[in-house]
Amino acid sequence: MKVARAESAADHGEVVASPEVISILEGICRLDKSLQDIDVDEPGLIASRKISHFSKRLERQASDLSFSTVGSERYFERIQERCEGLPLESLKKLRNLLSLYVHPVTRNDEMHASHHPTSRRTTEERHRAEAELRTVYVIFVNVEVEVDPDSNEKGAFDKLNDVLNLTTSVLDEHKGHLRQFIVDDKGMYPL
Amino acid sequence: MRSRNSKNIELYENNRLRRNSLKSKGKESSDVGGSSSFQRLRRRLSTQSQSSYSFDGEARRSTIRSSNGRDDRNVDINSFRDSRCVPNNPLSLSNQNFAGRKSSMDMRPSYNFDTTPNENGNYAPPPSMNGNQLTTHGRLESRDLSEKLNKIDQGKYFSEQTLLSGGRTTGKLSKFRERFNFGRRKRNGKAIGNTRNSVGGMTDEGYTEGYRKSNKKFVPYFGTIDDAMQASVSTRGGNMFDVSRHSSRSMKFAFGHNSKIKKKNVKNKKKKKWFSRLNYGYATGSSAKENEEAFLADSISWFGRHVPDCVLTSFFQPVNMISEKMRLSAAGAEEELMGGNGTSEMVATNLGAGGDRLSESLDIDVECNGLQRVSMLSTNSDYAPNIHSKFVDFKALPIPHSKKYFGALLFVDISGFTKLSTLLDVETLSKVINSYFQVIVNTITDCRGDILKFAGDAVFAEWTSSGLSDDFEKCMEDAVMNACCCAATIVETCSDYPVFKNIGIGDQGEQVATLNVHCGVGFGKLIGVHVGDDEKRREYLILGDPINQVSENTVYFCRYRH
Repeated sequence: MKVARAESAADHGEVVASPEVISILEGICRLDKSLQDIDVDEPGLIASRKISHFSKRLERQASDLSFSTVGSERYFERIQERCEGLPLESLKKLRNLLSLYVHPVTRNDEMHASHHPTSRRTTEERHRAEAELRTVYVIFVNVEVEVDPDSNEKGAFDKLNDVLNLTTSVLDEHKGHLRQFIVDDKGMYPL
Repeated sequence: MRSRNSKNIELYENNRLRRNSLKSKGKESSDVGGSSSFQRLRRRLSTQSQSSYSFDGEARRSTIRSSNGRDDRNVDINSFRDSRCVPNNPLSLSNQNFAGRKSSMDMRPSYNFDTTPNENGNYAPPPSMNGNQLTTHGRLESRDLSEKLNKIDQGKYFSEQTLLSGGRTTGKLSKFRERFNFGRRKRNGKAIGNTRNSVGGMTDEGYTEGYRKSNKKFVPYFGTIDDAMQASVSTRGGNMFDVSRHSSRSMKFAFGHNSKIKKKNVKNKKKKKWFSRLNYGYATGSSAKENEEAFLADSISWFGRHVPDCVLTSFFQPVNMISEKMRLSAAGAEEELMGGNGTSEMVATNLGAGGDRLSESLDIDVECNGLQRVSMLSTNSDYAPNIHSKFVDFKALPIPHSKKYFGALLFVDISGFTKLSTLLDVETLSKVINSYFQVIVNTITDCRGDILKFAGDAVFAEWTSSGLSDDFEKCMEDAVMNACCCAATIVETCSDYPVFKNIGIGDQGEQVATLNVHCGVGFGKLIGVHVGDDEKRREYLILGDPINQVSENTVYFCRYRH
């Protein structure tokens, strides 16, 4: 896992950027001499604790569609705004689809909750329920999958899909939950 | 023994009679100057001979003497406000809410009490009150205060502003109605019923129930906290009426100034039945569907906290498209929209900077002469919604589903947690992790990033190349710049983060560990893949060059440096 190697390789309090990033930065802002001198194929240190080796300017992208562009304060308020006016069936479908992406415990808690106002949980109560101390047993699986280099991307994605479905079905048999499914440069990790 | 409802009605009648009495005596005119609410406050004070109150305005403190001229108490509210009205406190209103209601804040009473809960987590009654009434409206008594504070702590109460301001606020009713259809009941798409006799209410944190009388039926309204405060504006000029102290949930209602309606409210048996509903915090009958819709919206919002923004946005894309199409149609662009190859580009342009999200639901060829091209009306995508249908159909994604786009990826790795977990107990460790991650998450969100995944003590976030066509290069640059600025801010604020033994306590004790962070930034073509099924579980995975870059960067850099 290259990400894991990065942890041991980099020093604390540093930001290292890829050559692609540095080349883009070079065109849009002023870089320190240390960054200008490095090889074009090598990554470089662009910031370190209080020191920034490039002139920072935050770009604010205004968008009506993306939720993340509204800032953290209005993020969730905006989700609810988007739900206004949607028919009941659409809301149910949307909730079911979104629930597939969250942890099964969170999903079950929410899906089985009553919609009656008197039994509605506050955000605080939801957080508290999620943060409960549980005794668990963890299995960390490293999946090795051979993908035919001649096959297209679709074949690789199908394999990924099969691995996930197989894992969840086996976990269901044994009353387990899939905590996370990580795929990176080192491999696949159902946890 | 009188019932709760009869008490409420009696209290309401007493308020009305007292106001009429004051009017007849010519006391309605102001003798102290200032707002009408100030006058009402003055009248209330004058009727209470046993005590006087002091009020803490925004920038000044002034003492208002009661009619007998005594000034017994001049105490500070800041202890209460500071302890509860912090921005991150989910049980409190934001500072912005207070800022918009200066008149209400000016009317707040001042008093002291112990804000520290006892060993059972409950709040003790304020010792200085001695059973006297506390609020300007005379509704909250000290014997109730500890109970109410406990409810606040449990999230049962709306906020301290409910306690202090009496819910009287200022705002624009028309805007509120326009946005939430408050005070209007629709039948077959047409508004019916009287809109003036609306009743706004506040309940527990984050939600509001407003009731309005329309064709003798009451329909609940669910909105946000701010809207709850605005809801009470709809009855400006009427009486504020608190039924919360008789009910299991906090509610504060405002009655409209239509006197005929008021009489009906008192005499009508249905109204009494409605009161009983209020006492239990819900309405029945025709409101059940609306209750469920509000609950579903709340659930969707809650799930939205657990999934990346890109996943969430992809599901809302059909809604955006339909609304955008309606807007374009209204602007007379329908003919232009349906014609030729220019269709997709025009719609994409109108969709604005979020157009890259279309790749989720529509066909996108990522690389086409270096630009993104959207085939808006393509029928190849199973996820393309039927924009001609009346309702939005959230079709399931064809799994596995992938999309390609350009973006900047930030990898934040935190070190020191392993050691920390051996030194701290679970609760303290949880607080440390939460506070530390909160700083990182807020920084990423403030920089317009999208958090993709928490992998152990690491965080992946992306900045996509928003925008299409000619703006593509500019958007690439913006994405990279935002990611780099975010990374620089994170290492600046989160490096060498000291962790003390007694976190959150006055004396923090010795420093037990130091948390550190380092980041990698990459840019390139990303592939987002939805895998899983439609019943059990799905995952959103990110693949592509930047994943390798962010990890390899540091490795290569270390070789170069050493």
